[in-house]
Amino acid sequence: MDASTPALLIEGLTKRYGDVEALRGIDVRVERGEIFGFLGPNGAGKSTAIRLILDLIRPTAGRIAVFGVDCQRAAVEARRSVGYLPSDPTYPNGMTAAEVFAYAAAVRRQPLDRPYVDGLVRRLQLDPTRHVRDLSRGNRQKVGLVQALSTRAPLLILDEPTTGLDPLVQEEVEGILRDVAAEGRTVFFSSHILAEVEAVCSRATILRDGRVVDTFDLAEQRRLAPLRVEVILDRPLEDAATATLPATVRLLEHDGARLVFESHDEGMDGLVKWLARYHVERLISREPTLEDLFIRYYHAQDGAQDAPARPAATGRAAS
Amino acid sequence: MSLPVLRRALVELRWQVVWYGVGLGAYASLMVWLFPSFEDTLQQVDYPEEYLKFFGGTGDLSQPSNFLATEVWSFAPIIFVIYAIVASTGLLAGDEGHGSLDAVLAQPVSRTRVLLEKAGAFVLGALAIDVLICAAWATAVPFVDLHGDLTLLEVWGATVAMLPLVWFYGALGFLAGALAPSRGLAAGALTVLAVAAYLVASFARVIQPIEWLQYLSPYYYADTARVLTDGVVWWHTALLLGGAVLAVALAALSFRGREIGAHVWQPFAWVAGR
Repeated sequence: MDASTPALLIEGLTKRYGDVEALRGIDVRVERGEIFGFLGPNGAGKSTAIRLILDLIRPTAGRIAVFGVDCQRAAVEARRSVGYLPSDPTYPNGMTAAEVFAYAAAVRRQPLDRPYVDGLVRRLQLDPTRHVRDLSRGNRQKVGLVQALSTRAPLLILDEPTTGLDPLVQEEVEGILRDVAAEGRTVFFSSHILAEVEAVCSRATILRDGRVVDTFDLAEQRRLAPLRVEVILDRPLEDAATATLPATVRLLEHDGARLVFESHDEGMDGLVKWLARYHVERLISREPTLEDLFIRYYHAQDGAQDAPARPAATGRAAS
Repeated sequence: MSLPVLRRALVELRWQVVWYGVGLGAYASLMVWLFPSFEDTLQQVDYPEEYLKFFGGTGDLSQPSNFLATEVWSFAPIIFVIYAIVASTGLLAGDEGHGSLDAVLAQPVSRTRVLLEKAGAFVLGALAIDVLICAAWATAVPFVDLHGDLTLLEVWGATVAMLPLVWFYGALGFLAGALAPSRGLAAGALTVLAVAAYLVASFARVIQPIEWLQYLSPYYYADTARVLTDGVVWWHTALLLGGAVLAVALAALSFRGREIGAHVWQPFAWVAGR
């Protein structure tokens, strides 16, 4: 297999259920060793796409390949390269977490890497001797996550992996995923929570109503997207005073002494010099979040009148 | 060969196997122990021939083989068939509805293999129930005076003769599970068919104009009581076993073509699975 073959390639994937079109010709390309976010609100089609990758359901049109292996024509071979965490992990009744790991390994016909599993269990603070049916949603999620990771598969497909986990464990999961990527394995990470995708992913695709809205490089997006600067002055500022703002700076909000600006790196010097003429009590500069971008896209898609234009460059990756 | 899916399915079936085996065995054993108490009364009662035929009897109920034919062999197969439907639809459609089938099918294992391992577990489970019933016979038949009419080996033979029918319905359970939207619908539809087939066989035995209908019912080919009188009819056994193999093959094809978790009827899944 050619080393340039992507870990996951989805081309023109369409899935119809009667009159309902769950996926409308999506294209996604995930390179080896990256943590790739698959973002979208509930019902966007994320889980449908994942079930198609695993050949649990069949596409109406299009093609999916894992490391170049067709997921429909050679489904078993394709799944050999995949570790999967479903959005709501469910296991046969009466099994303990340890039995789940052993059972999955037996079905895969591969030995269970016990030291690795023990390490994951410790990191996630999971009791493997407890019956899965007695576990909370979050702990079942941990079982599913350990099972998926225990496969040591080169591609991990995680459907909403942090659902039900408390913030500390979420942080631990993010650390584990970075470790996985450091080993050269690939992570395909579906989520409707922008912050967690932003925290761990190198690239992301936004899916909406079964369509890919955009695919972009997160680091590039952060570099190119405008910073948001909130300033509180010692006294209210008249509207007319803002007319002298440099053209590179955009005023988003003005409420008495509180002003919110948006500026790219190159406009920042002009903003600081403009502010120097006033007494600044507080200045908060925030990097743009994916959420900002996400909301922009959605407003733009809905044709909202007041929606700001999409940033000129967001590192859009060809997909 | 490790067969993890088969072993897991056996674990899931264990309590059903124990309760059906112990229940049917206890009932069979009890009937043998009660026979001497009923014997005198049964000699004095003259049941209508149609009544006896309906329940699978052939004549004098004071004769142990006829007594057991009406009291055990008429009911035991339909109860055993209900087990077959509950167990087989549970193993496939039940796991799909529960969501735990995803955890298996997401692994690098073929659907055909998963289905065959589950079917294997079902076959062994039914065999275990049969063994429990045979063990129960052994606690009664040698110790009760049956006038030399029945031996333990003969009742064991009749018990084993239920298996092809049970395996046939089990295979239909897997097929129904691969086609129906849910386990409830698969089990419900098949139970209605099984009970209807049972009633057809029973009524057709006593109503001359529809006598031919009994040949359409799988129960006609289940040689339980018939083993005691006529011995095994091998082509009956072959027909049921052949039907079971055909149903499992169709189930495997349908399961391969099935959209997992779609919750709709998939009557043409077997075409997609080719």
